[in-house]
Amino acid sequence: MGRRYSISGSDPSIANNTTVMALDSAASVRPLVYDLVVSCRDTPADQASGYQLERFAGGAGTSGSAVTPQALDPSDPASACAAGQATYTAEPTYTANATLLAFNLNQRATFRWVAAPGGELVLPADDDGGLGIVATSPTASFSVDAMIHFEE
Amino acid sequence: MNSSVRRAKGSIIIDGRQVADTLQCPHCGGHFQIIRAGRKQVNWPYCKNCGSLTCGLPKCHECVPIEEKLDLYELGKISELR
Repeated sequence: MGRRYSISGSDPSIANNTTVMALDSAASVRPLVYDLVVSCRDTPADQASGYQLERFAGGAGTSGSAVTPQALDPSDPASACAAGQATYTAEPTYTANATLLAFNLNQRATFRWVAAPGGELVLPADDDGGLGIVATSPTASFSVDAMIHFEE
Repeated sequence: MNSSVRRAKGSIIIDGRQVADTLQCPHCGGHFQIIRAGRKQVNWPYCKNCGSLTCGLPKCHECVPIEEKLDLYELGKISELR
């Protein structure tokens, strides 16, 4: 089993085809995403949005702020990967038709996806590549929090 | 944990309750949801070459395992990973 890390980020105001959080891969490792949580901390309301986990390959864009991966085992070294959260001033260059997971979610609900052993989302060892959580067609502009656990 | 498929590759949990399993396409590595349909028989896209259920999208009609695609992409022999 590889070293495991966690990243958490948020988007204060989602919009169509905007990135909530992105995991930037590195040339030295293949990150394996095995846990994802998406939730909303705003006052409960009946709004919804679609979300897609998409590969990007042409660069991670320009995030609103960087997110430092936290090692789940404190004795592990820093992750080779990086991450960023909204609000992106330049979106990552997503690969067309490269959605790894897609779902729709009501604002009131919390979504979690967990991979079985061997079912992780594998990212290539690529400095310009990674995975982004993209909001699609939200019915309103609300805040979204996301958390990813990955292994490298 | 109730499972809707024998070899689920992932689970979807909404508000602490498991609602669905996901399978993983061997060609693109993406996960797709299996919807519980009781006794209804569902014909799912199947790759005759590798004998696996696929996501059914046109990009995955050709049998190229995701592991091979990753290797080719990292070597620069393919420009896109999808």
